[in-house]
Amino acid sequence: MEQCVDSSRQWEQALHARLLAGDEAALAELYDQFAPMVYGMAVRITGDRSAAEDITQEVFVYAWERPGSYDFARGRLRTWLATIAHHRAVDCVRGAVARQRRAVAEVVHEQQLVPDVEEAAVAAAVAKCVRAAVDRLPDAQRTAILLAYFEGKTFRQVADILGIPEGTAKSRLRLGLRRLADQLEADGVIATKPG
Amino acid sequence: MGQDHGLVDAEHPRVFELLGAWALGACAGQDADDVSEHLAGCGTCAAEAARLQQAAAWLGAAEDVSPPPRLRETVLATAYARRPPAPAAHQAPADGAEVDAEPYAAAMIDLDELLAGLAPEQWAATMVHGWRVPELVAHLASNDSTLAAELGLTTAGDLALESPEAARSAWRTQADAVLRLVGGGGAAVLDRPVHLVGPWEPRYPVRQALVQRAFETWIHAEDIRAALGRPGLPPDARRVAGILALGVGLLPVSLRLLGLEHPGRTARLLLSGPGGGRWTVPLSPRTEPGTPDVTIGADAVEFCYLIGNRRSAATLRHTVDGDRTLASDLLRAAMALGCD
Repeated sequence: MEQCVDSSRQWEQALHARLLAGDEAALAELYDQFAPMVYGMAVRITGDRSAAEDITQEVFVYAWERPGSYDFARGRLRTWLATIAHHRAVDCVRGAVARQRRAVAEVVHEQQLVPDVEEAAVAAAVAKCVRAAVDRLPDAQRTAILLAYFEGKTFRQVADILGIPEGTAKSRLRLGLRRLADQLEADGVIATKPG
Repeated sequence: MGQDHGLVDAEHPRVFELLGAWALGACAGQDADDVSEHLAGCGTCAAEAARLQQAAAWLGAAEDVSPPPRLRETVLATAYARRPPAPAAHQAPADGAEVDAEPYAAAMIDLDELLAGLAPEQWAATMVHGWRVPELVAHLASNDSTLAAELGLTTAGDLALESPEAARSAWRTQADAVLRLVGGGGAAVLDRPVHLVGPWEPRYPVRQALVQRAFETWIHAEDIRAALGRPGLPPDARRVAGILALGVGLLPVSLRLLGLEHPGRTARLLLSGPGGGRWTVPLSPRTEPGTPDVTIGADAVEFCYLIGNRRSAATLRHTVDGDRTLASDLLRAAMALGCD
C-alpha cells in the first residue's frame, strides 16, 4: 500500500505540472481518474444527479483554470479535488429549499446502504478499506462526522440535532476524524507525512 | 511575516478544537475565517488540518460513481473555452528551471533585503517619478501579478495603502509563489505562453516573463539605492545577456507602437562589456534586416538602464555612426520597453 501511495504521488506531481503548462491531455487524464470520485461525492451529498453533473463540471473547470491554487506541499491532488467538490456540494445543499429534518437513525441507516448505482472499479480495495475504517469509529463520532460531511451540517447544527453541547460536537468531529486519519495511515491509504 | 504573534498564540487552543469541524467543511462564517487566518501563521495547526482534510476527503472519495459518459465532452469543452490549451509541445531547450528562475530569485532576494533594511523615514524617500518606496512596491507587485495570474496563482492585490511590513510581505509572498511553481514545473511550465507586462503581443514563454520580472525587480532595487545615495549593483553578464536578448527582440515592435518604424531600414547595436553582444535590428516588425543604416555603440549595462528608462538618449554615453534620426528613434524605442 505504501508503495502505491508514493508512485501515485509522482504521477500526481507530473500531472499537476502538465496542467500548469496548459496540456489539454492532462485535464482529460485528471477527469478520467477523478471524475467518479467527484461525481460520486456530489450525488451522495446532494441526492440530485443533475446537480452532481453541474458540480463535477465546476470542479474540473476550476482545476483547469486555476491549477496554481493547488500546493503539492500541502497535500494530495485527490484531497484538493475532493475538498473543492465537497465544498460545492455542501453549498448546493445548504442553498436548497428547506428540507424536512430527518431522524438521526434514518441518517445513519442510509449511509450504510450500498448505493444502487454503478460504481467505478477504481481503487476498490482502497474504498473497502475506507468504509471499514469508518465503520470502526465509535458510533457517537461516526454519527457526528456523517451528519457534518454528508448532510452539510455545521458543528453547531450537529450539536443541535444530536442534543449535545457545541464543545462535545467539535470534540467528536475532531477526535473521530483524527482516529480515521490514524487508521487510514496504518492501512497505507494516506501517507504518514503530507507529501 | 509581520503578523501579530500574540494574537496567533491566544487563538491557538480555540482553533485547534475547531480543526475537525473545519476539515469536514462544518465551520461557517466567522469560525471558518478565524481558522483560515490562524492556519496561515501556525505550522502545527496547518499540518494537523492537512492530515484531517485528507481523512475527510476519503470519506467522500470512497463513494466512486461513474458519471454519464456524455458529461466528459461537455466538461472538457467548457474548460478549454475558458482557458485555451497551450500549443503542442516543442523541443525544450536544455536549460533547467533553476537556470531560468535564478536571476529573478536573486533580484527578488536582493530587493527584499534592501526593503528589510529601510528605516521608516527611508520608506518615505522620494525616487524616480516622484514615487516613494510604498508606491514602488505596490507597482512592482501589480506587474508581478500579471505573471502570477497567468500561472493560476492568487495575486497580491492593491498594496498601495498597506503598511511597509505588509506590503513587503505580500509582494514577497507572491514572488515566492511564482518561483516555487516555476521551480517545480520544469520545461512544461517554462515554455508556456503568457502575457508580458506591457503591450507586447503575442504571448511569450514563461522563461521570458521571468527575465522581465528579474529586470523590473532589479531596476526598482537600483531606484532605491540611488535614492539612498548608494552605488548601483549592475547585473552579472548572464543576466545582462538575458535582458538584452528580450529587450532587443522587442525593439521593432516598440518602434511601431511609437509610430517610429522605418520599414526596410536597419540598425546595428554594438553593446560592450560583460553580457554584451552585437545585434542587427530591423527598424520595423516582421521585416528582414538589411545592410545597417546606422551603428550605435554603448556599454551593455548602461543599455539595460536605458531599457528600464533610467537613462535617456541624452544621459546614455553612446556613439552613433550613420543616420542620427534612426539612432534617436531606436533609443526612444528602447526607453519605452520599461515596465513603469
